Amino acid sequence: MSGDFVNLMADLKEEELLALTKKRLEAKEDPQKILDDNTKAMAIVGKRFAGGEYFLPELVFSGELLKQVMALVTPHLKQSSAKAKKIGKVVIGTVAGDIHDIGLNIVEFMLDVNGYDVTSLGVDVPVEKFVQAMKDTKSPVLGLSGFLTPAFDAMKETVEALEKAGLRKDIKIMIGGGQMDDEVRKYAKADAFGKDAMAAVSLANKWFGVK
Amino acid sequence: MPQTKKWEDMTWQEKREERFKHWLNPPDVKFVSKETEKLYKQRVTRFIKAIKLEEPDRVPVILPTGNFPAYWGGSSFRTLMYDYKKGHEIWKKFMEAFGDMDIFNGPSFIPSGRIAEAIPSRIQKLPGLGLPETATMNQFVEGEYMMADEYDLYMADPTDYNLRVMLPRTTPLFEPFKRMPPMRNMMGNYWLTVMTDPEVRKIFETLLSLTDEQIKWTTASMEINSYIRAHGYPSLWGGGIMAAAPFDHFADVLRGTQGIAMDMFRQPKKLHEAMEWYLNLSINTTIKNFPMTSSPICMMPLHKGDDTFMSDKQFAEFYWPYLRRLFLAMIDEGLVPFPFAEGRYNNRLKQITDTPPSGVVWYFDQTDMKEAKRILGGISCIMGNVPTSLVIKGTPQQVKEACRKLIEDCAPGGGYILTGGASIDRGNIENLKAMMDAAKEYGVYKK
Repeated sequence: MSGDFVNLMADLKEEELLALTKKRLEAKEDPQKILDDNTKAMAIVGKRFAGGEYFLPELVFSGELLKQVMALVTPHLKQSSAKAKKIGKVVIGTVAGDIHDIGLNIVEFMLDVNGYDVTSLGVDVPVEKFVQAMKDTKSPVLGLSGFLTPAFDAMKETVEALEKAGLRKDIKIMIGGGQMDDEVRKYAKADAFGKDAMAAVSLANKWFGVK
Repeated sequence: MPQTKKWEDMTWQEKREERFKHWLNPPDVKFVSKETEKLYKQRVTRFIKAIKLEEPDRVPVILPTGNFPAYWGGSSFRTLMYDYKKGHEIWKKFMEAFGDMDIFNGPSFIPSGRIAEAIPSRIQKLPGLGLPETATMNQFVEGEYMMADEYDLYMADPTDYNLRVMLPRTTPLFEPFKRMPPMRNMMGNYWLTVMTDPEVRKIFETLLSLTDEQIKWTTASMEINSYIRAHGYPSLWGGGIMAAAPFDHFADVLRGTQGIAMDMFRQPKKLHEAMEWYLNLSINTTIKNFPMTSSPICMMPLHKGDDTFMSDKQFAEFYWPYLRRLFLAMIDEGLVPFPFAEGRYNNRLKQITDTPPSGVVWYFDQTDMKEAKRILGGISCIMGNVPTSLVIKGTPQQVKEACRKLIEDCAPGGGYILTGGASIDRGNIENLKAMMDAAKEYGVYKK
């Protein structure tokens, strides 16, 4: 059943997936196994996205399927369910003055399915909130997202605030989204520019030493 | 205008020629001198030739000025939302200081602050109204404003749906419209009956109290645009934004990215039915018999068909067939569809070749222009895409060099317009001048 489940989810077969989830729960299967299958299925979705087979609609719809499966499984979960081991922490957010979240959400999804513990601060994130989050999470990697041209300056200001707070030397910063490119990376004094969500994963892998 | 043939008997090329003539000889413009009139005609001719895939005297340029004059003049988007006259003065000064440009437009995209304050919108945020006061542009808030099960309701009576469902959801002032009876019943003094509801009455009172402000804003905007044209600078804003790509109509405004993704999997047939319906509605009520406007250009931002949003297969199924037919209807009416393909269209290039030669002008943002020229050369005039980051942060030499490369790749044989990837708000005016210089230095066609 487990193999079917993973494939149904990765192939986005909504009705069959939900029917199978109910069947597994009725059969008193350990719900933790369903969660593990979720992770496996999402990793396949992530791979297909990276390989150019899946695009934004598939990503969004797989997120919806996951939500529905979780709604069925959650009442059966014991408190002590073990959390999967993560590679490391990454903080992401769309910089101040910019309210675009589509790209940000794709990056969150891709980092998550590739084993990262992601804290997304959402959109229009003030500089101070980034600084506080880097202090609180002690994350060594920060991703700044921006769609519009005013984000050039907001990115620069965010990086400068981290410098001022004495945190910059311990953090690797990547930028991406809309009108960003390597020119903006230089201007904002970030460490790297990524052209898509797959680049965000490769950069995190590089910085965390994942092969 | 004397016409030898009846409009409906003309070919699309003949209709377009009539519209081009109107653009070239605008009856409503009083040029300030013979010289400005000559410049205006030279400039429009440059564009007409590029659109027709011919070689003009040189590569035409559309500078990505956007709201740049506001900041160049020491003002801001927020200030100009309230001070329309000031916008006027700054744009005039900028025009004089800059000199030669092929196209220039007034600050028409800066809305009235007083009106925006009185009628707050959940869809649009503005500097000081949902965005920091220092924000340099407006931003749109996407959402699921139309529910998944409302397609039929919308198609049955779009006007009623917009007034009684959409408006109350997107614009708080109109919330009481939810309580109104269906619009088709609103005959005669039924209007008075509904206005006995004090909250409905408040809507009309608010609207009435803002009409003078609206007149002020519109007059200022028309004045500056006439002034600009009288000084020899053509405008591209003729056809306006008359219709959206059918997929974007549902994905951007009504269902949002989340909602449309669900529909593509859960109810693709309904989505197709709705796009077909919207396409026909747009053609029959807007495009057919479109009036003679200042230019035949129909600017149209495209969003959710780009390389990252969907696959080639999804583009071929959901996006292109409807957009293509919209283009064909515009072309048939003598109009020039002018899609702005935001983001990247590299994968799409091979899929958008089936339109009549010279019918469409493709404005690209981050698409590979060499590829665009290779694939669309001889089919569509292309324009773009000096990198926005370079125009804002680079040096004039870097900008000029980027333009030189673009001209080298795209200009041969005609059908190319030099422009930025997206509009800019701040930066060095010398970078904009570098774009003009590059066109004059590298973009001259030899006779």
